[in-house]
Amino acid sequence: MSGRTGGAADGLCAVHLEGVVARYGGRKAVGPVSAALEGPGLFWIIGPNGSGKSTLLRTIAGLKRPSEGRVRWTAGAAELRRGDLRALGGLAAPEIQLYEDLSVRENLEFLARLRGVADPAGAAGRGLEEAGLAARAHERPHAFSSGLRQRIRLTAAWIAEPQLLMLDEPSSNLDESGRAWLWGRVRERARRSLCVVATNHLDELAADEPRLDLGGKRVS
Amino acid sequence: MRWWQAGLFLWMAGTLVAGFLYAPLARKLEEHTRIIYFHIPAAWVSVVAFGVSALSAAMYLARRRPIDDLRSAAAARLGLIFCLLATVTGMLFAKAMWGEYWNWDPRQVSIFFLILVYGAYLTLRAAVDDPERRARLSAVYALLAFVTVPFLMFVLPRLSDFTLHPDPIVNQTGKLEMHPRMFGTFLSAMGAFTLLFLWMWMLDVKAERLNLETAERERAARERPEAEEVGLERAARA
Amino acid sequence: MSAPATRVPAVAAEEVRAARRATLWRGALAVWAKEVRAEWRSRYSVGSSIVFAAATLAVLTLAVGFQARRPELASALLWIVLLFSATASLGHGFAREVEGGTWDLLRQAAGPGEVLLGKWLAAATLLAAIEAVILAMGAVLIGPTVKNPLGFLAVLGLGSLSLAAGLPLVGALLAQARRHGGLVAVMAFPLLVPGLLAAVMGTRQAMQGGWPVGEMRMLIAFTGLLVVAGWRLFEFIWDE
Repeated sequence: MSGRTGGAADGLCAVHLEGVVARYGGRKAVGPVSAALEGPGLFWIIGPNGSGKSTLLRTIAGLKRPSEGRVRWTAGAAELRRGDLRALGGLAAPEIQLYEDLSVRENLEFLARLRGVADPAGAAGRGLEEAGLAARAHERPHAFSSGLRQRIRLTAAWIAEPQLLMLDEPSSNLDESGRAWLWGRVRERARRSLCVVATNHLDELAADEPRLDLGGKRVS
Repeated sequence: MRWWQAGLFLWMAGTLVAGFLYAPLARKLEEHTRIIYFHIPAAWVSVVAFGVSALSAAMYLARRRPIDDLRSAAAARLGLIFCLLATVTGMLFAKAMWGEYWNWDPRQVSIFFLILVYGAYLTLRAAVDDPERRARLSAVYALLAFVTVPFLMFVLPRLSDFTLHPDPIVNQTGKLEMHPRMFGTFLSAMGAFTLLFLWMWMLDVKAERLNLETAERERAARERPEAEEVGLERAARA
Repeated sequence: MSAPATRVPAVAAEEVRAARRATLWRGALAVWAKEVRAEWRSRYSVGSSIVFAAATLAVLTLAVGFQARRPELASALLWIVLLFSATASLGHGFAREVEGGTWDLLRQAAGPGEVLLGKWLAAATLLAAIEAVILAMGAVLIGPTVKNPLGFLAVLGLGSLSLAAGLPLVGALLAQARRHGGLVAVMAFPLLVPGLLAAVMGTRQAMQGGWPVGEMRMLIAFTGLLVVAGWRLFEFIWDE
């Protein structure tokens, strides 16, 4: 895969999964998974409903500790800690919502500031422009349709230009133009950062793109 | 193991007998004296159990081994039982001595709050379903409580107004005016109760450990068919 | 997939960490601002706890009458009302985040230190707002005399800090539990009682004209202990 051997030397992000097993409520949700995802590039996580795609993505994002095995993040030769993902990572998932009491712009600015972006207001403005929502920046999230809310969610995930971008079912709720917008943005970002996308729709993958196939592994 | 269990039985029985026949009575308390062989050891054990629970909780957070969480929970359950015993015996004594079940004596209040802490800890455990999360969160609570409760037990009684009431029962142990036979029986009771707690705790932990191992075996059997590892693939899909 | 078009400079992990240390306060203040702003717009916590406080005060004063003016009673009434109002408003912040789906949003972008510090600041701010209203209502409904107003305010401040420190911690523990609603009070009470008792006694002394030095010292030590222990333990609540 292009960029695979050169990625680490360029100092770009990489995720190393070593025998990762993740459990929820005492039952196994996914695993064991072993893979080295080296940026830049686009990696897929596929599998039927219930195969643990979301759980695996959350483990990669550092939101959940693996029950067995290890997740390691690196940037070049340096070993990253989970806390470093605040500045370098970004996850968009269906169950992650924005603050309903803040406007969309305030949400984005808040997140940018937390992630250490130097100019949070500017980043929020640019993100809204890219999503085509600049005119409605002062409105609350619930005022938007589900498709537009998904655009905002995605914008929130990449507001700090993450080196590790993780997307869980990003095309859900998006119409055709939304999907075109999404994949344009994602593939463009995949040229300079590591993108990991979990999806149900196999037609979104290009023929030879690397994937982790959780299919056929029933949740016990 | 059976020999020391028998030994403990004899020790306990001996202490009980001594409490009634061998040890003399304190002057003002008369027959009520006997309570010190039950009430104070029970209170002491409930505090020890609390410490054991907190220590196991800290070890869980450090090592993340389920057995430490089980130890912590077992100590808390037993601690609650001994705490209830201590409170009830204390209340009986208070009623017999001064006609009131409750005196707002600092130590009475402290032991009561220990019940609340144990109760809260066990309630928290019951309210969280995921085992890893339950272990982690109850460990945090146990440690938070461990930090604040001694404050309640040792610092609070020093505050001025609070000791309006006479400091009853426990003064006996403070002044070492205890008759040697009384003191001997008392120490014997303290030791016996402590060992009893340790024995009950180890039994409880052993039972829990067996449950844990069974559950893990079942889980491993369930998961084995899917043990093939998932790795990166590049094959084009049809 | 095409070859990488641009080269990004190597990211030194140490640089990232140094930047993160500098942003602890920046992040905490951002969280504080967000909490206060969200609360101002929804008036959810503050509103309900003020209504609750008013109802409680009314019932208590009806039952006790003019006796409520006496320092022994007034000090206890004040802290009863404060405890329950505070629990209602400060105990559920984290649970709201979890239920609203913003908990993982926050956990991605921020660190445990910033969030805890920000929530603590917000708790203190909200509690101050609630107290202002409670004091005003108390002054009107009961009208007790406070002979040492400075001492009174000092104890009020210190006691409130202990509530603001402890309640969010307990709320965070319960945020992911089932039926967490009623449990906050159950779990918070035994932890907060040492501070509360000192606060009640100190308030009474201040109302009677004295300076409750012992009680204030104890409140400072207790709150300090709670803050230090909470700070260290919060990352275990934070990290799943």
